[in-house]
Amino acid sequence: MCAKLSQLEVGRPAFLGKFSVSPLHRKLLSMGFLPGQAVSVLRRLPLNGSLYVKVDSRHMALRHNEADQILVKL
Amino acid sequence: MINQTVALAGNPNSGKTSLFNLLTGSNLKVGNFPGVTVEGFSGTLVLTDLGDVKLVDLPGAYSLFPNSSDERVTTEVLVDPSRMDHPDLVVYVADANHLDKQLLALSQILDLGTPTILVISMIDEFDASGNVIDLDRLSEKLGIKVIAISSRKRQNIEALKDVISAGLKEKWHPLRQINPLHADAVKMLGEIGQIEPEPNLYRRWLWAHHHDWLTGSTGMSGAQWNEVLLRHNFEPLKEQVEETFSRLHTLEALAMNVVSKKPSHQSFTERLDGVLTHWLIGPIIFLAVMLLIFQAIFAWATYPMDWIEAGFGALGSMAGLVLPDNWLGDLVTEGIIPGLSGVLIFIPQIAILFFLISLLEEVGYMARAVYLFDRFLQRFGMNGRSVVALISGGACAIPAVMSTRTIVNWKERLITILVTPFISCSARIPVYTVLIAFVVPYEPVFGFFNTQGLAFAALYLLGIIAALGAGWVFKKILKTKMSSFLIMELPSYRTPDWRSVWRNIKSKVGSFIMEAGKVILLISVVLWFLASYGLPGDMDHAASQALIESQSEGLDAEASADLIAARELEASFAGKLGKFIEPAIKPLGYDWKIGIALLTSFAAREVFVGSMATIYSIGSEEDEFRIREHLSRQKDPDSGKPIFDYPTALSLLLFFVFAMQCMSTLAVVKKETRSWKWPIIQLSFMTILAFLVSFVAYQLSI
Repeated sequence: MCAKLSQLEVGRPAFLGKFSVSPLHRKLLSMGFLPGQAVSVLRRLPLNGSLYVKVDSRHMALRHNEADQILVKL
Repeated sequence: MINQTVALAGNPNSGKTSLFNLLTGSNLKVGNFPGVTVEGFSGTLVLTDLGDVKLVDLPGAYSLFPNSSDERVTTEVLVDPSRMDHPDLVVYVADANHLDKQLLALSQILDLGTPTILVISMIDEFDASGNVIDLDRLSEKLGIKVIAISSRKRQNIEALKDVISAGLKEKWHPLRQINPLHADAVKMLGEIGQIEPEPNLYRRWLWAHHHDWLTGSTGMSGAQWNEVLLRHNFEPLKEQVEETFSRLHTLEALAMNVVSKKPSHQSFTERLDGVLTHWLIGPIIFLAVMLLIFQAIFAWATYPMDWIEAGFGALGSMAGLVLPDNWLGDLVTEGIIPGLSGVLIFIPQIAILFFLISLLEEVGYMARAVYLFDRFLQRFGMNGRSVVALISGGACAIPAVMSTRTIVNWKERLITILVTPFISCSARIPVYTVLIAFVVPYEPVFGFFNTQGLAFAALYLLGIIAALGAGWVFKKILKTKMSSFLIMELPSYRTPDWRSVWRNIKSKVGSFIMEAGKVILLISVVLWFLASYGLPGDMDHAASQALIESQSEGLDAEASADLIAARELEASFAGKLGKFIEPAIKPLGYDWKIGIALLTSFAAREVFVGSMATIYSIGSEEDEFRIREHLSRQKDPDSGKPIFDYPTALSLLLFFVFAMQCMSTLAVVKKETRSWKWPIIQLSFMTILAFLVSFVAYQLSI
């Protein structure tokens, strides 16, 4: 099942889904993030604030509208 | 003679800049959050057999398909051999703990055929976690030399220098192509090769991707590029995404073969962040930390500031005795020495603030502050990274404005630059100290606060509100098409690298001395001139009049000297200027004397206090409390009412909160925005706002 990263509940394990051709996905790729990597949202700020995400063993911060463009597989 | 260039490349947080600090003696900053290094800094690397070699620290880059202006700089230096800093040898730094994620740009550099060495950094942490890496195998697979080091423990640094020497002497070109281009690309590049003779195919390929912004000439015109690329249906973004995919797969397989890693748990970082980045507790802790920092600055900086003041006071009186009693002597004792003192007096506060800020950056906390405040600051046209600039503004706007270079989006960066001077800097403190007592009488509140301390805090708060409000307005006015990203890594917490903290303090204080120092010094000399000279005859006339007056009133020697000084100032060019602007500032409650002080405070705000002392003939040796006492006794000659009453002092305080009273900051804004347009806009809107607020405050309170 697919969902957007922005909608993933805190603590629920998932995997990065398909990437598309966009500057955001190019940026994700160049940081070494790939489809299939384990991803979970550790916490998020209220009112569609930024997300604190763990991918594999690394942590990253991203905006809600950025997480909106990222697909995850549950 | 420096004839060879070595470039350090690597991801942000790869440990590249720590290594740079170890290899050179240059001023540079490294921070534990992505993107602190923004320009290519360079220093000198001394090699035993080759002598001096230029070492360039390239901005951290993940890839040669750039996503930010940092990455563009790095890409340009590496793909354009005509660039001045184009390296003879690349030293690519990758963190041992994230090796598989950090080799993307390396694989591209290798395909460019540039002689390269791979440095595996932070090997001590990696080994300590029980991980194993097969360096020989990695070297064999990549076709280049590989060496593991630790900057923190100084492991293998000398060995690395020897490897760099050997690499420069023997020109180690990479032995392998990491990611061969696909057939269509080769065909297109073959055609390009008929016009552009560059032998390396991958370089031609990157030129094809970046020809529209690469400033170096590629031997082909824009029209020629467009024609070829269009004919081959070249889709850059799609090609970049696919190529990056392919490279990452190759590198992942490669890393799996050479690294055996225990699964890592950043349980410490995660537990700490459970509190520090909590949506409610996080910002509260951040504000508490900021309060503590500013408390510490006030508490610690007083002593060195007193020493500096006393030292220059003594130097001034000594110079007065030694130097001849003519214009040259006056220039030194009344222009240059006070000017220097006015520059150096701020150094303790600036150094302490940047010590604490770099500490927070080094341990990794600043990246969390960026995460916490990104959303909030976006409402006001800024971005999470603006936090660093806004805090730094509490010491001095100059290094603060310079620190905005880490903000990728131009509009957000510009707004941060424009509003940062609203944050009350250390130069406003003496002005607030003198004036606040006229507005708020001292009374204890709840035992440990007092009314004046709270009024002080209120002025700071007012500055912050002004900064946010102005940001909001600019956000509505300015338009941009550029997209804004936050997406960034949150590095694990770690102990600070003290060498980097020290380097950072040096570079911030250095930027203040270089940028503000010149201007403050120059302006104090100009002011000395304006205040010491007038139209021919005017000054002498005023002096003799004052002498007669003092004799008829029977003043003692000191009082009559003060009176003469005050009358001479009135007759000087500065006095004329003050009277000239008086009609404009009268509605704010200021007379021409305050006008002079306002004009002089354009050098630095704190000069205001010294000028007031001179103008009201208080004697410049007095401290702020004596000055205040004297000011309270000043009476308006016409009405006989005190000049420094509640309305005037309130109006002045507010003026200093909002006005852009600092030439040095304007000069730095001009430098950073590369045009006069923005500093002029900044000066105008801040001055207009200051005028309006002070006008309303004065008119309502008289």
